[in-house]
Amino acid sequence: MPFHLYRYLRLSRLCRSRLRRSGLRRSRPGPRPRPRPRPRRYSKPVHFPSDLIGEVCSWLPIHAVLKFQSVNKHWNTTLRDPHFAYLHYERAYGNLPYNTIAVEYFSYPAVNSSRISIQQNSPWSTPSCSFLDGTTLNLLGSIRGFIAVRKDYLYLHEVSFSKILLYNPVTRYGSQFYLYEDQRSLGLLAWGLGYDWRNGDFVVVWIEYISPWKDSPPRNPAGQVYRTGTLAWQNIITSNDINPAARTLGAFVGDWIYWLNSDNTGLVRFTIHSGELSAIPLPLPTIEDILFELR
Amino acid sequence: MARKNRNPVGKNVDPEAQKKKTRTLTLKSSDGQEFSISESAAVLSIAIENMVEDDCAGGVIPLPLVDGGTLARVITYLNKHAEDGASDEEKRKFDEEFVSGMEMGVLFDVVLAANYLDIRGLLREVRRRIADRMKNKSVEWVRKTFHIESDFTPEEEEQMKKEFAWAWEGVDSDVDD
Repeated sequence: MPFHLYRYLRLSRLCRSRLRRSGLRRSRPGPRPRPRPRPRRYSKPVHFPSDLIGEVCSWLPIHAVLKFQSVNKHWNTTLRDPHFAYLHYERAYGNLPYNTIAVEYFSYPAVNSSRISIQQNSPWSTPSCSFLDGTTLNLLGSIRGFIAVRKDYLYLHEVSFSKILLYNPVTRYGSQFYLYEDQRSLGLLAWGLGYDWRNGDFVVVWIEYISPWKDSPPRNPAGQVYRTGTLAWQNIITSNDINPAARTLGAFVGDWIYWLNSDNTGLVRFTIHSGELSAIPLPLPTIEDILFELR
Repeated sequence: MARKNRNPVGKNVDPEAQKKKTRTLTLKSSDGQEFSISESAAVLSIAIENMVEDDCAGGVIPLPLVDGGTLARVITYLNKHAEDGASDEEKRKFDEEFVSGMEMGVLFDVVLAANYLDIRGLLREVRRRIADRMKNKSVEWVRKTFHIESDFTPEEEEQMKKEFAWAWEGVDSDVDD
């Protein structure tokens, strides 16, 4: 009996495979090993361009985005990038059911009355919480996917200064800036938060005026605007007849911040890029106007 | 002088558009297969449209990054979207069916091809579909599917998992559907 056959008989299957793995040549030629099935095309590494990762993941719900931040470092940086945050925000914004808003507006009962009146004497209350170290957090709203929080530092029950914090929930970073350099009364103050699309600055506006007694016409308005690009407060040119309602946060739309004015007769508009403050009358919508808008 | 109406069905048909419909282009995939497609369908791809505008689309357009099977799929999509009679509703339905049966690997090929050819609608549809498939999957599934190795240490990974524990809840099984 040839030696190699003898060896073949003695070795169990396991031993043979061990022998083969250890690099020894098989003693018997045997049948040719069956060709391995060709790996499927898709098991080859696909190079997925990084902008495509961002684009694909921008359609994911937020929990999936947070989960997939831990895929690897490249995904982590991609999914924490502010551009991605903006893209993701845009997708969500595009999916908003804005038609329902139009329909609700259409069925708003005040349409038939001569003037839309908006309840203004309700106190401006934002969700807030106080801490033992004398700070209070007020949730102001959101701008461009950032959450704006006002942080008041109290000293002897009075606000000594405030900061505005802009927090990015996706990157979990934020910026903050001081709002007050000295103590100001919080009472008769209109706020505005906005964003300057031209140079990417966040903008904070306040307009303050004095009212000597309750419901008296406001006097001596003054206002300042803060831009994150220049990091400085600038004065706004104001006049006695332009008074945004006190204790209100302006509505930021496009390039403007709008407040209702203090006697509910119109709107006050602050133009972000030029820093102008102007009064505009409230439009009186007719049913035809609204039908036209809807078309 | 009365002009003879050559096109009695549609009176205000743009002659340029009519010409585009009859002219055909030939696309050649990476594995040498050739596909002919009407120009009106091909110009839905911005990349091909640019080639046509620059007059370098004469003869055969080689597409070295797209293989035959993927190109055939993409051409089906283009033909449907260039069809005259198809309404928007029909097209949307077609898009839905077009991407719903695809495997993940096929989707990757199509998204790369659409990215290369710059076909906006297809790109959007396929990206959405990929995101839809992966949204409830585990991180391991994504690594396997995208052929990614994790470069985090286990401690770092554990830390991230702890941070957003709620995001990890409700993960589907890793079996590809």
